[in-house]
Amino acid sequence: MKNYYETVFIIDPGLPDEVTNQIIEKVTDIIKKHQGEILELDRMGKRRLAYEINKRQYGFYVVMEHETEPAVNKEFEEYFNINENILRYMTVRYTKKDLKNREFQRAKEAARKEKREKENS
Amino acid sequence: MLKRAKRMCRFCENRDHFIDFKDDKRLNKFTTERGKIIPRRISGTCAKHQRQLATAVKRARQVALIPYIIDTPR
Repeated sequence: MKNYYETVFIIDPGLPDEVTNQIIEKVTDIIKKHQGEILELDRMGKRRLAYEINKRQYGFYVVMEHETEPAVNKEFEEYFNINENILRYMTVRYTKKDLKNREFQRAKEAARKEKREKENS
Repeated sequence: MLKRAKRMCRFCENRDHFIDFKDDKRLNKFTTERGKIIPRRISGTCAKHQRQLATAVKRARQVALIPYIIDTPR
């Protein structure tokens, strides 16, 4: 029984790119290990934090949407808690209804954008 | 008492039932300058969306996209 999740995590921004990529790969591996399918991966990149975490003002945000077995959450906890380079993490579960609502919103946004572009040309 | 009771909930008007906690630009419109959540009677949102808003704001705060409190907005 796979569920639809969205996981956000914040990586220390001062790390070299290879390390950051390694972390992201490790997370994708964890997901795949639980028969997970990654639907979206958004590297939001460096952002200013609203408050300082572990003495840092900035963080590297990564957002992943995936459809996985629920056991993945336990492993997330273990990995994210132990790795000191990960400052925060949060996994949210979406129901079919949530996804439907979101699709509706996105379709509206897309239609609105198209209309604007037509008027501008 | 709702101010201007005729005014509809901003979300209901647009049939918007998904409030994304990552959308800080939008969420900031519903928080005060101190970072507190604006009450329903001021913002005019309906009960259902106020609840969704509140959870979205609280989640965003947890992942440091919006602050819990702003000390000196000078």
